[in-house]
Amino acid sequence: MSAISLGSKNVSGSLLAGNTGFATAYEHIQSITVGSLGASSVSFTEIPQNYRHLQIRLVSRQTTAGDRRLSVNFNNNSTTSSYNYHWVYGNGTGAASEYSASVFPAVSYTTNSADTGLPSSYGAAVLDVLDYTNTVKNKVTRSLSGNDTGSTGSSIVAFISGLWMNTSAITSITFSYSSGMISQYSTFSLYGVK
Amino acid sequence: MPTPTYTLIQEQVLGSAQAAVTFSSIPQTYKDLVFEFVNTHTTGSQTTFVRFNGDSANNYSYTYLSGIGTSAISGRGNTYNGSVVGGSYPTIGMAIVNIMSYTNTNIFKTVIVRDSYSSAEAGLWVSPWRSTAAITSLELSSVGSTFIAGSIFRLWGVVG
Repeated sequence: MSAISLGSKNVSGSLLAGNTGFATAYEHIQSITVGSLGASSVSFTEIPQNYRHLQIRLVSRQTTAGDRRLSVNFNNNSTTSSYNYHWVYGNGTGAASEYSASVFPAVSYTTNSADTGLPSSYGAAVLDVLDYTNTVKNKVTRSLSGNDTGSTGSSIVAFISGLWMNTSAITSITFSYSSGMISQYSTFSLYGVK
Repeated sequence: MPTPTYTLIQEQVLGSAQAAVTFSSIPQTYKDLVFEFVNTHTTGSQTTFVRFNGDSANNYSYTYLSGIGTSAISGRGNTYNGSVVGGSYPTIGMAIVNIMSYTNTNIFKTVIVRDSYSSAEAGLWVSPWRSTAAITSLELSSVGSTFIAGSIFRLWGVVG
């Protein structure tokens, strides 16, 4: 077994994209970390319009017991009839698929205060928002999400596909739970993809 | 010139079979780590896992969703001695492992994984490390198997 001393370099040919120059295709736009009072929502606003796609990488926890699904809406559009989502998930005992209409798309299933004994446990997701500036297409999202609480609570791993039936370019993204707040130390990072 | 957001920290390509692959002295200057590998194992049907900072105690757990042939299944392990990143098979496979907020000393480390092995499975895993310690090293290994020569392992840092 070998352990080689490290050095940093920018290279192409990553498995992640299979394309050269991948390392410079992603640009970090903004990060938000929730403070000690928690937050009813987290928003990215005035999103630059010079990328092809967006990616949000997040860890999140809910302050109360309840619906653990962290949801997203765009451009402060609260018309729930404009949103749908599908998800395929495993909960440790079985695999299932569901469709929800007229609700903000879920992007992650996270931990919450019902996970007693695990206050430091957070759910995570990598969310892609595709063609967000395109004014011809409705907007689609895809998310890889998971939370695991060991033996103390519910655990979910999921692929989630969301839809906003609106052709407007996305200028803001807001995350929230249907009840409770987003806990301290939850972190959301926004990236632009060229 | 745009600022690179994904930076390759280290790449290892095995010149001979190895039981484990280690990345140590991981820089603490990124937000997330992305660990990707393409490998083949000498034996199959075992669990591949990552241990952080040398922790081999039962401080991990996992939940998975897997498609194998005509079946979709899910399972979980409430305690385990590594963060599970997929199965191991004597056919070529790959995985992309997202290690979120790895330097955050206030939260446990959540790991979410996509893996796929030809003729075996397509899988999705969440497997946290129940420690608030910042991650400074990781070791990938597999129960009862070794990684063959030519297997590729890359560790990326994601700015955030």
